Amino acid sequence: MTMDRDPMTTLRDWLDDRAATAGSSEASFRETMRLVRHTPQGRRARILQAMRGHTGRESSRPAFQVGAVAIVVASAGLALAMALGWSASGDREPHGEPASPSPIPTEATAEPALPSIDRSLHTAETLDDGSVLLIGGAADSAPSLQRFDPTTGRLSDTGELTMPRSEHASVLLGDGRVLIVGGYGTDGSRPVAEWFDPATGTSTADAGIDLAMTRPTASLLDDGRILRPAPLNSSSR
Amino acid sequence: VNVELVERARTGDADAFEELARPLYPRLRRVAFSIVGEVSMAEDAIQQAMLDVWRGLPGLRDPERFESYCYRVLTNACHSEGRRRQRWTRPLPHLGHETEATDEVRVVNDQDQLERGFRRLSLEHRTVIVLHYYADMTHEQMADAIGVPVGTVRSRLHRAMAALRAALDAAERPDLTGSERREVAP
Repeated sequence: MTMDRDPMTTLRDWLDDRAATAGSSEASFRETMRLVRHTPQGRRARILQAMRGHTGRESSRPAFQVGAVAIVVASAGLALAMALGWSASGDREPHGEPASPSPIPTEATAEPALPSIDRSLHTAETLDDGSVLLIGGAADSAPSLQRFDPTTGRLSDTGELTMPRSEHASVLLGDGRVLIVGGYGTDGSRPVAEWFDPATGTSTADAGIDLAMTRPTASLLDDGRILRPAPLNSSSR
Repeated sequence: VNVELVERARTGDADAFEELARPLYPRLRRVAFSIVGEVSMAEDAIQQAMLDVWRGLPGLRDPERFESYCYRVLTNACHSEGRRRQRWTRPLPHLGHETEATDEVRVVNDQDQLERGFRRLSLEHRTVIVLHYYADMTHEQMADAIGVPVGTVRSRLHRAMAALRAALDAAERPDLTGSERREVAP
């Protein structure tokens, strides 16, 4: 050991100097927090906070928590939880008759009033503004596109898909649009893909995208491409 | 530690968690780097650690222990990352000592020897040295951060320093190969 100074001082100085070469942590911190917010806990918290008027406090009502967990477990959890009757009483509204929108109380102990929705085999996407887009599925007289705003508790009709579909897949893209692919049409047909633009509220069919699969999945990759599985019994993809 | 922030973070408040983690993060990251020795590994370790802390917060009984909890999760993440990559015994190039020993060269040689010697240590030994001599933790704080009794911390630190001295001596001998690169017994 060739350290001429006090060895412990040399060791401390060396560790300090060495640690300093790790560089700035700001970018690392931002990336880490982005990952944290994208965990199921982070996503759940965002939705719950919005629904509680940003009180930042957890409700102690079990039914509420069960509903919240449902949001996280499935990508369509919010709509599904509501469709299953996510309310204190457990009452369900008839098909196509969403309850009157009710503003959400901001008191920490208040139960958020949520509209009931009877919709199944649909998908849901959380849009950039925090609202939840309910897409397709079996919803009787309700339009094929509805938007739920957790800050107000309001459910609004947003328009129609270019063709009815259920058991499809949807993916929110980086530019804010939603790509909807595959599934079944009402007559058993296989509808072509379409784009929905929340900014304009319009849907546009796109026969150029060959994703006419039933019960597909679609995931947005970091580079903007969309990953979907090849169909079973297919050797062409 | 801001107990209210910890409580909020425990309920899933990511903003509170960010506020808690921000002042700790730079030091935690430097500790991770000091243990694993490479920026990319340190990044992986601290990101995994922060995610584990976030997920594990609801189970943290004493909010006052948030910081030591972070260190404990971080050291575990560093060890996991280190074992996963299995690059601990990679020898650094020997700079040689034939050059005239001016002060500047001696500093370089000292640092080179320390780096070579430090890399020969086990993860557990690196960890206690970093926590004690870089993070300035007491034995009690280290015990809390590592999750072992204080007596174990003392003996581990003693053995770690002995191993470092032996490793530094070994590092002066160039071109060790095979089993000789493994941690040198004190």
